[in-house]
Amino acid sequence: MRWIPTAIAIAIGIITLLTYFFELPVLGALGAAFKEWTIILTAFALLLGLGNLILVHFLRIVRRAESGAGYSLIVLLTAGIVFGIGLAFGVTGEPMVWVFNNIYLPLQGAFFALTAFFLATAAYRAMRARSLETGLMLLAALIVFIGQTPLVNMLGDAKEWILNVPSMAGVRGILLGVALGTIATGVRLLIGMDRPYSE
Amino acid sequence: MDALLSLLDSTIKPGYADPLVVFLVFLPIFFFANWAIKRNAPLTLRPISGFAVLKGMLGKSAEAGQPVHLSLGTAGIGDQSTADTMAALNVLNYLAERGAISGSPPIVTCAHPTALPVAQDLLRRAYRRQGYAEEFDPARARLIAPDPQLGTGGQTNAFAYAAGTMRMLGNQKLIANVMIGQFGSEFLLLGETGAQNNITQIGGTSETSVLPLVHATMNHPLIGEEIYAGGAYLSGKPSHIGSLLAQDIMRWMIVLGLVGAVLLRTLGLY
Repeated sequence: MRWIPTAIAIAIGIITLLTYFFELPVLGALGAAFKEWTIILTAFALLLGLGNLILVHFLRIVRRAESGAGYSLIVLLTAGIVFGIGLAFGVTGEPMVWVFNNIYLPLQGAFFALTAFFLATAAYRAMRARSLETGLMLLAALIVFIGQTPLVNMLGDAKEWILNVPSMAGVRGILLGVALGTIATGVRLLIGMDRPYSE
Repeated sequence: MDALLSLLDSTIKPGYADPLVVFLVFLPIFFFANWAIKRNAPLTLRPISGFAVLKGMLGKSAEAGQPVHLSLGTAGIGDQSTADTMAALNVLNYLAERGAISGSPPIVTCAHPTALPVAQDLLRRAYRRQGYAEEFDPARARLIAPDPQLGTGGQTNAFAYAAGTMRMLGNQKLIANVMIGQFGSEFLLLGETGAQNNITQIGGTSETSVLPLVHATMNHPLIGEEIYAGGAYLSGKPSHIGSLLAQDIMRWMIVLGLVGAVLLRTLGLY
């Protein structure tokens, strides 16, 4: 009976692929139904995820094998409170919007601001000229950096050339490879060579 | 024939004919490549340091009792970046199999709820295959925090996921940090935390805007399509090696097509 999930996956995959390329009423209706199922499955997966979050943090408190049991308690309490607010007032209700606007968004903003400092230390490490490649990268970065400084007004043409010729060529090469890799992964799934859902 | 072409013309979505042609050209090449691999066609894979190092790290992980952390990225199954998640799951498949044998399974984190059950199932099946089903720990695969814009179509962000995972990278003793999948700017936060804690890092993504962050933070960066080669390099699966061959044949066809088109244009013949 192991062929059943594979057959279902292949059939749904082929129909979804056909809906991507072709405009036919039957395919449109099937495609819309599959999209709806995906949303429902994602919602159930989200519930499983909540269960996993509770399990992981509960075990951390009980086992004491990892540090941060106090943080885990805060995570569990916060998750419980926000879940309760969502159930009582709905996800678009005023209390939930307040939580997002006054707690989640400022925290997210603070985290985004951290990236500037992380970028500085990461750039320092990456730009140490240890080899010819990193030396060239450092030179290109310097030219682009100076070229983008409005006060200096130098190396503008060199910056444009670096961005439009070698950089663009590299990006297009990578995108071409990614596209081929994506197609190959898709085909393996579509014909059942890769079956992450069964043995 | 004309009727068939007319029917195709009226049913193919506008602008989708070109990708359909590419797909239809790729299919026979893919099957040919897999047929050739099954008949032991001589093929040498160029070395990719990230995968070679990862193999060595697993032995150290078992000796030191320190796990490998694998991040599946911020995408899930069923969205536009499913291929990236699949690339990460191929690596997980290998890590889970080796971890079940050595008793040092990886810690897997994700930000999308649909990736979690698949990751847990891969770990569970690896333990079952090795005959240690009772030793499977479901807490080894963790959903850290989903994107609040999940399913709304809004701009994605995974800073909550980054916050939770950064803490783990900073506090837990890990032998290696592997990050493969779809990432945004949160890659920098995770990669830099790992680098500051001197963890051996292997990572990559298909997102070109994130690749500079990959290069800056990872000891062994996987650039672009290299992330899809995990199944071939780590597990040596014939279907994955066949895929690589098909990709290379297709790539050479595109390169020759480009060069030919440039020559024709230069000579004024097209």
